[in-house]
Amino acid sequence: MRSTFRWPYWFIYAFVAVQLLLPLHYYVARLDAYDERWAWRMFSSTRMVTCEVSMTVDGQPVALGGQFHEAWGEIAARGRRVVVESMGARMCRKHPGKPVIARLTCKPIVSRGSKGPVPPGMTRYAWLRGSESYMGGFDLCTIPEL
Amino acid sequence: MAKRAHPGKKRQPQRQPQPQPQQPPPPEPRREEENGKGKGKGKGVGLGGVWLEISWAKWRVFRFVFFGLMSVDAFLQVSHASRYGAGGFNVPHLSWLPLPEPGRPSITFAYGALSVLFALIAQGALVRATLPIATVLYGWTYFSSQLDSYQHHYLMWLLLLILCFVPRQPDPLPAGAAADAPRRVTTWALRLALIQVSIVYLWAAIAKIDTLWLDGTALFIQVQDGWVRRLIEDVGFSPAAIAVMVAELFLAVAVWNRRLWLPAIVAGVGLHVGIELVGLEIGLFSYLMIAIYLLLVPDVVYVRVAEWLAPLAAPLRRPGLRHAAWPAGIAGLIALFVVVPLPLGAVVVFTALLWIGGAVAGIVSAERDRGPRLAWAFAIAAAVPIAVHAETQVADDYYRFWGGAARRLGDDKSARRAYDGLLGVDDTSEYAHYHLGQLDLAAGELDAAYAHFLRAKKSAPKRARAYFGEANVWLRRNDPDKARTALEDGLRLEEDAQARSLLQSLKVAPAPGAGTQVENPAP
Repeated sequence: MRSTFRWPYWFIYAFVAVQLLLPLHYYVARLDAYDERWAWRMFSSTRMVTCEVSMTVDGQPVALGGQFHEAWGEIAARGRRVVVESMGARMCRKHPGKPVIARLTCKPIVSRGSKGPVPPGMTRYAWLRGSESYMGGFDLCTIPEL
Repeated sequence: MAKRAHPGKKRQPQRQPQPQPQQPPPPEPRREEENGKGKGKGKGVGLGGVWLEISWAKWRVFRFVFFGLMSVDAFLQVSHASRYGAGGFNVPHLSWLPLPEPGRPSITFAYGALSVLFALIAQGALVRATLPIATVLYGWTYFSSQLDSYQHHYLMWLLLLILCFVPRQPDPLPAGAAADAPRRVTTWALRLALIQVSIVYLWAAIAKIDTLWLDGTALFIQVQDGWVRRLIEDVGFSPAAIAVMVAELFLAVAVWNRRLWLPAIVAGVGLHVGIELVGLEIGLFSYLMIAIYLLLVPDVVYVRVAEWLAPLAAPLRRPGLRHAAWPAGIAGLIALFVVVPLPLGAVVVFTALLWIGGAVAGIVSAERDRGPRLAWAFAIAAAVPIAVHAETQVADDYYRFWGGAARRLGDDKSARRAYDGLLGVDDTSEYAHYHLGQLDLAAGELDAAYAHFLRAKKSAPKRARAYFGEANVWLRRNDPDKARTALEDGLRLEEDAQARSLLQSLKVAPAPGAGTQVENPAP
């Protein structure tokens, strides 16, 4: 009789283990700090980063809004690398042999203690922007998995 | 899926009967757990504490509320279907998982079907089939695209997966118990669901061990203006942020621990009501989380309410309602197809097939009441999307988002279909008439463009853009006087730099060049 009870317990063990360990992956192994999937980081300050994403094909700027749904632009603007790389991969396929370069200029938020009160006419988001950091700037078509 | 397994948990003293000889002897998880031996020995007895016994009435109330909310939430998601597959681009969550690519029609079907399926599950109809199907469909909508990166959708999928294993029937009545005695259900699945929620709270609290959270910056930015913000300002953003983290840590311990359920209800419901009040755009997530706390409310509440409601349910067993069941179910499906102006034909067919399958199963099982009950369940399930459509802008948004995205991506044919669909929702839509006018203008269909601009003007007499569109029609017809009049009329309503510039050029040079026109002034 007891053997029939065995499978749910193993399922429970595996399920709980995966759910405890998967978020840990974000902290110890994930290369992209802006990709907070599976980590239960609701309302995190990382999520509030804003990036300006630009892309060139053979040196010519691409209007991303005319190539990708704006929802993808919003995800890319959060700095999620896998999405930007996939956008680049698509442009590489559309323009074979031409360099596709993406540049992200990201502004994380900074502590409100370092900035003082929000000036009138300015949003809290805009006021608490930190200094710019940069990503990209190389030919995405050279990434092997793309 | 939910194979019954009796955990052998102690019964309530007042219902402690003589053990039935026919029932399997229960395993003894308690004993081994208490003496600390035998944990995880592969016999499955060391996790006796994972079994949870609650009143059947509590499970039914939770199921009704939770899946009712899921049904509403699923239909609300239909409005975002157009982003899937737009421009032929997609990034799945798990690139190694061979899932079908999502597109607007398939996502429309999935969320439409989910709305019906969840409404059926809420009523306990065909749960054996509907819950696994819903779990697969919901999982596909989430995992097939990073367009849905909402962590609460991921949590809901995990809970759906776990809830598939809740027994479909209550535990057998103990020997000697009255036939109408309160029923109970014993399952590990509900305990695991609560453990899953606890794990979310634990990691959410860990994520908040961060300077920008603890000093209140993250909260300072995210809380919307209003009385809640003023309240937090009085307390201080940093203390409030720390309080949120402490509450989450407490809930990580309390939600799965029966002894702590009452304080957990206070802390958890308070936390999620607070999250809802601060105005974060997270859909029905707060309500779904509050629904989970129904599982923590003491059983006696549900038993008493069930006893109180029992006489009220008697009229529902009248023969007249049995006879009306099938017409009501059929009418519900037809109404879903006719009333909701969305492409839900596949959903209606799917629902009808599900109903037929359930009815056949009812005939095979020779349950007399099953057919009418099922028919009413389908009638009510069809009513959910109809009601949500009546109270929200889902259909309107569906076509707007579709049209706007298609236009920006240069797919004029698809955009035209979307705007035509929007006119099916509201034939006076200024938005649809204006953009159809623009599409006709670009295609050289000047009469059609003019007609759409006129309708747009009539629908929104205080918006200027249709006047500017009309001016472009007159310019294409080489009639600068009428173009000038239309521009002046439009500029009296709203200022527009391009229109003003064009008007000036028309005044300087009454016979404009063929290419001169106002560009699309507004999205």
